[in-house]
Amino acid sequence: MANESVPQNSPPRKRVSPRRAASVQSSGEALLDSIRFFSHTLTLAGQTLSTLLTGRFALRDLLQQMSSIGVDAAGIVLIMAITSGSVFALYTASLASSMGFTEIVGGTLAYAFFNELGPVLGGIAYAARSGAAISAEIGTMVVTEQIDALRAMAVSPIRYLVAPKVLAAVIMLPLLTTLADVVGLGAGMLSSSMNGIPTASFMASVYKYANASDLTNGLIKSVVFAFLIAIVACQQGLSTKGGATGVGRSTTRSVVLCVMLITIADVFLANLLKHHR
Amino acid sequence: MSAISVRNLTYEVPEKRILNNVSLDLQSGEITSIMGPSGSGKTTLLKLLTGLLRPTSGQIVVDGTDIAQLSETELDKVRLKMGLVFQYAALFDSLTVYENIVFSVTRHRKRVPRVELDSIVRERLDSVGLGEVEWLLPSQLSGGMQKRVGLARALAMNPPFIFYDEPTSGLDPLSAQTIDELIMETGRKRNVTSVVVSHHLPSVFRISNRVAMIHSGEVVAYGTPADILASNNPTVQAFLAPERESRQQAF
Repeated sequence: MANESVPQNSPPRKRVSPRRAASVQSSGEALLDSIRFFSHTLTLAGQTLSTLLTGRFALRDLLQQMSSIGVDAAGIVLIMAITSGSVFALYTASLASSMGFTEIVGGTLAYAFFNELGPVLGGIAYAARSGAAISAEIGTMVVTEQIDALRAMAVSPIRYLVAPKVLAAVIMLPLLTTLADVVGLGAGMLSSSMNGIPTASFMASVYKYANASDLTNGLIKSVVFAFLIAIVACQQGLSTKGGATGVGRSTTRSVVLCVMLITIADVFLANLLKHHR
Repeated sequence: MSAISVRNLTYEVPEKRILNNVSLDLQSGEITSIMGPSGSGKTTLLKLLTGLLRPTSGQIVVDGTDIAQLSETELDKVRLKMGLVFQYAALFDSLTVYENIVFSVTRHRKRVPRVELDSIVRERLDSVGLGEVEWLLPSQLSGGMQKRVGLARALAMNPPFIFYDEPTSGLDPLSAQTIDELIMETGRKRNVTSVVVSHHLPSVFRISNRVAMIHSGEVVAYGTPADILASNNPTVQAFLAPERESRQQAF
C-alpha cells in the first residue's frame, strides 16, 4: 500500500553525504549564533543607553568602574604607545633621511598617531585588558548565580553593572587615547632624535602637518570603540553558560569580537571623518 | 487563602518540558518543602516562583498578584517581598559580609543612616548565629557560614516570603542541622512563608509543615510529612525507601 503513494516516474532522490549535511548544519548554527549575538547586543545597547540617558544608575558605581576598568588599563596602553611610537618614528626617520624629507617625520607620526595609532592601538589594548576583565567578571557572576541574586533583590544588572561599565569606558578610553597620543609622540621624538632628526625640526613638523581636527577625529573614534568594547564584553559575560570553561570561552570571544569590531568600525569611521580635516 | 498559589504551571525549553501542569497551594506562615530527585524540576519551580524564569503557561499568584503576567519592573515590586537563599550562597564576592547584607537596603532606600545599617547587620548576623564576621570577604568564610550570611542577606528587607534552594547541600551533618534550625526559627519568629527546595530527606521531614514531591516535572504527592510517608504512590515509596529504612533502624 505504501508503495502506491510514490509516483512511479519520480526522479531518484539525491543522497546528501553525512559530511556535507554536518557542514550545512554547522554553517546554519554559525549564522543563527551571529543573528542571536547581534540581536542581544543591540537590545543590551538600547537598554543601556536608555538607562544612561534617564540617569538611572548610581554615581558611586560609575566612579568604582572608572577606577577598576579605566586606571588599570593605563599600563598596557602606555607600553603599546611608547613602543609603537618609537618604532614608527625609527622607520619614518630612516626612510625620510634616505629620501631627504626629514621635515615630514614629526608631522607624519603625529598625523598617524592622532588619527589611527592612538585610538586603534589604545582600543585593542583596552579590549584585551578591560574588555576581558568585564567579560570574566560578569561571566563569573552568571555562573555563581550572583546575577540571579541581583535580580532576586530587585536590582537590575543593567543599572548596577552594564550602564556604569559602559559609561566608565566611554569616559576613560578617550583619556587613555589622549595619553597614548602624547606618550607615543614623545617616544617618537626621542627615537627620531637618536636617528638624526633634531627635536626642534620634529616639533616644527608636528605643528605644520597635524592639527586639532586630527586629535578630535581620534577621540571620536575612541568614544565609539569604548562603547563597542564595553557593550560586547558585557553581552558576552551575560550570555555565559557552564562553569569555568564557559567563563573562559566568553572572555576569549569577547576579546576576539571587540578587536574585529574595532577594526571594522575603524574603516567606516576613517571614511566618515576624512572630510573633517 | 494561600500565600502562594500555582495553577497549571508548565515550563518548556527547546525540545524539553521541564515542568508539566504543576498546581500547588502554599499556606501562609508555613514551611513547604519541594523534594524530588536531581533533574526533576525543583530548582526550576523555585526560579519560576521568584520570577527569575518566565513560565510557558499557567499562573503563579504570590500575595494576590499573578507574577507570570508582570513586566520586569512590576515584578521588582513583588521581589521586594521575597528573600532568596541560593544553593552556593551567591554572595557578591567583591563585597564584604556587611556590604552584602545591606546591599538591597542601600539600593532601595535613600540615605539610610549608618547607625541603622550597623543595627540591621548586627541583628541579622545575630539571628543566623554569626559573630564578628562583617568585615570579612565571602572567600574568607566556610560553606556553612556563607549560607548563613546568604540567609542574613535575604532577611535584610524583612520579606514575608523566603525561598531556599538546597540549603543543606554540601554541608556536614552538624552544619546542616544548624541551617535546619535557622529555617524553622526564622519561620517561627518572623512569621514568614518559607519554600525549601531540597533532596535531603532528613532535613525535609525535620523542618516542613507540608511536602510536595516532584518527579519528571510533575507533582506526584503533596501533603503533611506524615501523609507523604504514608503515601502508596510507587514513585514516592521508591524515593523515600532510604529514609524509611533509617527511621526503622532508629526505631
